[in-house]
Amino acid sequence: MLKLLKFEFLRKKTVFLVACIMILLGEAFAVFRYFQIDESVRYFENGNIFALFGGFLAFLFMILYLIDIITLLRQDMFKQEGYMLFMTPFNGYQILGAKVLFALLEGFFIGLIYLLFIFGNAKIMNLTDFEFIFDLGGLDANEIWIIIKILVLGIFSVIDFALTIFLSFALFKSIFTDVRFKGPITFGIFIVINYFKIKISDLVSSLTGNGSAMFYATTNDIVFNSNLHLSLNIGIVYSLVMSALLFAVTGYLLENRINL
Amino acid sequence: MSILINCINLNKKYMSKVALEEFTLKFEAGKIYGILGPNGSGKTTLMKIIADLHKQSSGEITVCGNKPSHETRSKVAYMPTENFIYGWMKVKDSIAFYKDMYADFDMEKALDLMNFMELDLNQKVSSLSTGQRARLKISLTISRRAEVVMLDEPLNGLDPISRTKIKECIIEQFDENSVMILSTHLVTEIEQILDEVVFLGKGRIVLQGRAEDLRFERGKSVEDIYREVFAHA
Repeated sequence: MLKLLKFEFLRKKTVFLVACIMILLGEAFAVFRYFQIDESVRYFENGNIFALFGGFLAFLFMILYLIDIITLLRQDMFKQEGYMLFMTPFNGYQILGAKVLFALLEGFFIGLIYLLFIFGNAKIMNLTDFEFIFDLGGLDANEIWIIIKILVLGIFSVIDFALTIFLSFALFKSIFTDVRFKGPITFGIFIVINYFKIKISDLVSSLTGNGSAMFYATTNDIVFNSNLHLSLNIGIVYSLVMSALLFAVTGYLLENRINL
Repeated sequence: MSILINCINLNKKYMSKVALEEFTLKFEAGKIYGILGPNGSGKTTLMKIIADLHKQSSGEITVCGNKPSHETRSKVAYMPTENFIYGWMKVKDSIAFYKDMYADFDMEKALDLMNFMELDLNQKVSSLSTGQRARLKISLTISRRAEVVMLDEPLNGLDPISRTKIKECIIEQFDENSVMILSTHLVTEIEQILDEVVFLGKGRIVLQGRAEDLRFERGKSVEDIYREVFAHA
């Protein structure tokens, strides 16, 4: 498994390097443009500019990350070069596991870079409102638990999402391998899997008396669930069970039914 | 002689197209088999089933006593016709990949072969010529001390010098405890090194036997028998 992980890292080495250089160039350009803005506008709209930048960067990173997760397995399953990986004496579960683990590590790495940029820009823009972030020591045990649970839920959601994409590819390359219109069918499979996932989620929600909803949006406000712990726990268990199911089915298909 | 691959009534269909039909054959250790047939006769499909890259539609197959799986993949060295080596790798990266992934990979042999094939270890795979890529593929594949070695169209698209080099390599590296399967439609080039030949047409075995016996019985070279068998294909 470590060998597979090493291979994934080596493969992405150049992509990471190019992405980092491009992001740094983009950052330099953004900072340059920022200081070109009229000083009075900067004074009054500094928070909004920062929020806009942070939001845009988060969107960009998210898109890049999603594209990368999709290509992670797609390249090996749909290109001839994938034979090189699938001829190795590792079973389908190991190959899949290495990819999921890599996706997680990559997400963690991207998250770190994002935070680095956010803090860096906050410093450049002289924003002091964000100092509370450095004051995590002041959180009580309950708040720390909530943060940990949100992080765990985030991790399982990424795994869940990645596995949904991987399952659509695996289905296409096994059960639906001999059909025409490859692209639309793969996308269709992805939609169908998500549809079932939503249905299951709705079922779980109704069985727990809407306990899984973390917040309710009203016309004026967003109200958090009074029992946030319960909704987070349900979310974590749901993602964990779903990920385990998706992993088992995808691994099985990769190991026993694949036609590359 | 021990049987390393046993195929019983293997069938493979792609939609309505039959790629392999009732294929039954035992492959024994210590022999070089030639799977001969025109394009689309099922040669590659058979090899991919043995290599566990494809699953048969029906029938049974065992490789080194087991059904094809990740376990048998450790005993099968397969060189597909496709450019299967990652383009982003350098030649030395592809060697490192094989060393990492396969316990039976012989590093020393690989380096010797790279030298013999005149391949630059620092050259990127994507920048190699067709001939160089073919030489890299075959070098990596036969650097494994695998029980089953399969080379799919090993001489395709190569210049005469490369062909000679590859043939020399195949003969030199063949291990008596293993089985080697070569698929080709370039029969003349390879018939001297074959122990057994299997003529495959439209997924079925049309003719099969020891190369020497067939030549003796029919008074023809394998190449001529091929022409006779597939005259109307």
